Amino acid sequence: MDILLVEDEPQLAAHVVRAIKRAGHGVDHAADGPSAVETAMKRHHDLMVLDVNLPGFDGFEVLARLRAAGLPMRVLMLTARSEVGDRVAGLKAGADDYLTKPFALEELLARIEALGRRNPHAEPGNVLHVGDLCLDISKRRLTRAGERIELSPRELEVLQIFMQEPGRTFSRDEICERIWEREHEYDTRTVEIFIMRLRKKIDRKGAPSIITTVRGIGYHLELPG
Amino acid sequence: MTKRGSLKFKVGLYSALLTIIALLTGASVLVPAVRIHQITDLDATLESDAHELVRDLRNFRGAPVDPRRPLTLKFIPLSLRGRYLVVEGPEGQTLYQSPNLRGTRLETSTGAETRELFGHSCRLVTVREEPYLIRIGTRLGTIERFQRDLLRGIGVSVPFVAIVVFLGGWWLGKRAVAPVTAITDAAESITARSLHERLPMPTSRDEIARLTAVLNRTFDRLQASYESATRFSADASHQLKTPVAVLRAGLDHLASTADPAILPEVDGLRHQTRRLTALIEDLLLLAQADAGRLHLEAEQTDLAPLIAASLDDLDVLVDNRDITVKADLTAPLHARADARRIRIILQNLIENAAKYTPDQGEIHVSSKVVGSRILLRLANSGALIPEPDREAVFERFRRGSAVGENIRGHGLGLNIARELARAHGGELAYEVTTDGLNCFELTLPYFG
Repeated sequence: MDILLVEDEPQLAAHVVRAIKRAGHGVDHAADGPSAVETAMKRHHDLMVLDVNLPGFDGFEVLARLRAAGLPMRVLMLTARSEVGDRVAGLKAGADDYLTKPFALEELLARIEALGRRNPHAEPGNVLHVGDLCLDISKRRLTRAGERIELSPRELEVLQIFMQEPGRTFSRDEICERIWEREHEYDTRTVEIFIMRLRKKIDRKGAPSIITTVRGIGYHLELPG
Repeated sequence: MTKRGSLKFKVGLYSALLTIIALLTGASVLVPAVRIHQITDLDATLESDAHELVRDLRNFRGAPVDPRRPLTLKFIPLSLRGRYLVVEGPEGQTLYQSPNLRGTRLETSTGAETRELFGHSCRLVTVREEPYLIRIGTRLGTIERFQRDLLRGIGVSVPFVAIVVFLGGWWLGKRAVAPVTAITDAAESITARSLHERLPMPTSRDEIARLTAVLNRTFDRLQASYESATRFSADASHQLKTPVAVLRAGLDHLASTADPAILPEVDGLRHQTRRLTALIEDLLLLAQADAGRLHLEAEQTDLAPLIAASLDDLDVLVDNRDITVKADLTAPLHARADARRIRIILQNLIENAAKYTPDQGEIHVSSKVVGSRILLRLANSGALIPEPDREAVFERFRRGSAVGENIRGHGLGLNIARELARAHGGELAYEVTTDGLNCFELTLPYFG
């Protein structure tokens, strides 16, 4: 994928550029509104990662000019949460997704992948299948090999994170971030407890756990077969 | 309201008092002046009476009367018979004394004087016209009656005048205050949400116009500083979060390349960047609340799953402790709410309950709809918050003094929770339940 990153803070841009390259994508970088529009017009990109606060003119203006010029690229906006109504304004102006600063690089890459796969305005799938696990998100219903398993609200959220990207390793911190948007005093310990409870409910007796601990890094979901 | 009324009343009262003082001062000058004038007039009359008598004596029936012979009543003109009258001859011998003097001698010098005679104030005038010395006098009765009537008249009119002037002053006060009342109403309607509005300028060029101009200039300054404060909170969120975003991205990069041995440490640092973010968001939220600019992204939301998720957190928070959690929940709970903000309220309440409940304690959570309100109650056992601290727990950077200072938290949680509840049109309050538990009660409008 060819990605255009528009971010005016050089150090943050450097980290993001490096992470995108490592994930195997091509990346261009623009540091202000006017040069973002210019670069976007000059070369084709599949996706734009667009910061809201920019010198020149802001991200909304960039988005408006791109849409006015008929450029179809998908747009992931970066906002600082408390910028009033940014999310609403961004989505109205035609952004496809948004991410709030500060964000985890893994999270950013995951969103980029999702947007790359996604046909722009399709509904996200409501039923996730991984091995013999089946999770219906809207009905909040989990079955393993057809057998119903009752989960508490948070256990379900944790499992959903693993099932959306099976095989990827999530750090405790990233899981906390997804479940409680806001930092929480005991969150990492709390996540450990939820994972413990989740294992008790979904693992087969005697078999190794399908949620594997990756020492020092975090957890991932791994189903035999 | 009372202040506005009292100004009218004061204007009326002060005008009435001022009028009474003016009236009394005027009377205290007028009454003696009239008396002096009347007495001067009387003196002139008495003198001319004396001259008339002497003229008569010099030419009584065609010839002068002998000035050494005593005079009888027939020599006295009829017009003078009511007066006190003494006529003395050239050697000082008394030629005539009017009978109404009843033999009293009048020892008077030359000129005019007032003297008491037979219990009445009298005016006496001495006139020397050779060869006679005439002493002539009369009672001051008429003048004194006139003075008395004048004073009585003034006295009777004072209350009436005072009432009339009071009413007039009250009416004038009301008319003078009317534009101020209008300005007050207009100024009151200018709130944080309509700071661009201004008071209408009156067409007159009086004090009211000046007051309006001054108020409008004050509103200009207020709007400017308010807007810069609001801009600050928007800028600050960007300014503060960008370095945190850089830190976070740097730590993520470090985690992906570093020796696995230091990963737990990097993870700890990443956690700190999240703490920093939460703190920045809390402070900005309070800044927005203070500026009256706390914007909610409110939409139709069922609060029941949010409460269930928080309860799940609570259950885990007290996992390794001997605490009983009892829940009595209602579902669904429809509200127009900003789900992200409701989660913050719930998280703060849950953490608070977990923190302050001692081992072997219990926590009761209940939710229900009462009328048009959603009522969420979180009650926990433990030392009750002392009476004087019950409001203080909602203040910024305050924690109940009864609890140990070793419990972590930046002291903003309950304050933020209350601000958010109020922004939703609800309330967060503390009370002690009938069974003696600390209880935080969150009410939110129900949109069924």
